[in-house]
Amino acid sequence: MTWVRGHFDLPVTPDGTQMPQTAQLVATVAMAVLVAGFAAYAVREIARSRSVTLALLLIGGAVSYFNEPIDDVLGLVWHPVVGQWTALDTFARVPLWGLGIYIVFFGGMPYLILQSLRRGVTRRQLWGWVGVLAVVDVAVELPVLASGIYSYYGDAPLQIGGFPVYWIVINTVGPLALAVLLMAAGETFTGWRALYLLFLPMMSDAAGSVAVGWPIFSALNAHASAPARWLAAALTIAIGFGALDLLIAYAARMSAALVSTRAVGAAGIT
Amino acid sequence: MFQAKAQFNIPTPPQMVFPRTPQTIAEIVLWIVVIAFVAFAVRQWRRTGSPLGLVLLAGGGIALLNEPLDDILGLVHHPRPGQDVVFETMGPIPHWGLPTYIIFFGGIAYVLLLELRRLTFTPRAFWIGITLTFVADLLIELPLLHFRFYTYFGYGQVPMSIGGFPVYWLLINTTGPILCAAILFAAPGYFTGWRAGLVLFLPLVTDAGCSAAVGLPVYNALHVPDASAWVTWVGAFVSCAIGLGILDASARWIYSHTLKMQKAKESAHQLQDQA
Repeated sequence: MTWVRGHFDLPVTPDGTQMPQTAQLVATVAMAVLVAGFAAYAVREIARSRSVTLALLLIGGAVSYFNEPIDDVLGLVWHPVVGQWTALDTFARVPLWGLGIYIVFFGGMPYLILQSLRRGVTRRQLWGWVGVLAVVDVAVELPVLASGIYSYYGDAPLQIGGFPVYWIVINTVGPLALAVLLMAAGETFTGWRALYLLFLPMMSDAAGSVAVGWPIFSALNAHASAPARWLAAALTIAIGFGALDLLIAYAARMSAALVSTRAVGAAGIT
Repeated sequence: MFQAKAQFNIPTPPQMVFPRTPQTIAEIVLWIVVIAFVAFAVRQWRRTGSPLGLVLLAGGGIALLNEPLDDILGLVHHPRPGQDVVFETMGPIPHWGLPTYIIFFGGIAYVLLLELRRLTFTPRAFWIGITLTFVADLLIELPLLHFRFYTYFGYGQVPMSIGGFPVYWLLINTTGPILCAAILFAAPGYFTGWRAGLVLFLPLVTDAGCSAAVGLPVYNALHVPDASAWVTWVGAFVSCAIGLGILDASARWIYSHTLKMQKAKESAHQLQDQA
């Protein structure tokens, strides 16, 4: 592998790659359909319960797309530049199709988990939600990777179909953390404080991805040996599961307390 | 010989040489402070039977692994010529960073936790504590910046800089140790049994998480090649606002938990009295 010796020691990106136009169109349309589905649900929530939470979270999911360039530079993800429909350009140019998945995954999914938490869930059911997030992640990434509209480079370990599986935990901690935070916050994010919802998806995604991903991010950028990279990938997965376990333990306790309070209230016991 | 080649948008840092004598002096001073923290943690271990202080100090040292990530995201340059390198991942990290991280991300988190456990927490005291943490950060950073141990850089002027120190770093740095202490305070039962080992990584995880969550806006703004000054300043302001939001939320969380603990303690006393 070639390495760049500048101020930072970063592996060279796969320069010169082109964005496959048909695949880009298909991915963008597919993501737009998903976003439209969640947007319709948000409108229904406003009409039915006058709650703007989902609508604001979906916008927040879009704002969280500012974390994609950071994940790209740290986690060695490459979006071909030639022919790309660019959504934003900070550390690097990132494509429009990715915006849709951020809206759904980091804005919409936490809302679904939050609703489930409010109804009352066990630890086992919360692990089920982690499974749902993992399935959504893999279901999006594998076909899109196969189409060549982006790639993981730099000898990433634990790959299945070009997808390094440690990204599942890097990606799932953020949405779950946001749902748990919103549950714990109760009525905090109402009134003018609802504006926080525009930034919380970005904050939880960024925090989750760097806090969990640092071992593998460091190893990939350090030109580490294969065993070191595998060890770093294993440590990333362990930290990810540790974070998920902590969040789930806390959330299940809160959820149980909420259900019990509601039951006591319904029974008229004071 | 490697050739520099642009790939991501990363500006070029200034040419600098590591200052030898100040490096030796800084290391001696910082390690003396570390020894003081270790002595305090050992004393606490003997008194309470809990080695938590030592574990957190070790965790603070491990948190140094986040420094290269902060460097590339927040554009921090450690001069390479003459540097005593402690490790290298995305770029070389100097020796003096290790005691600094042990103090800031391990020691301060531990002292704060002990303070919280006294159950005398008030939001006012919290913000005084935050101010003291800011002062501790400045006391470490300003002299080091003055002697050109490192520098913050960008495509143009780095926003909000005073004496070469961009003020938004106060919030990027401070939120991590506070969240670490808040988690240990609010969920002490979680870190028992096999999970006790997780505490070793908690300073690093909270530092990395808070640094990314708070710094993201300014990190993005700094990496836009033709960004005007107002873009970088807006990025800096949003980062500060997020940092203050996290601190405010931490204060509220800690305060509500303190009230709960005080109530539980009072009830326990009453039961004891009745018995």
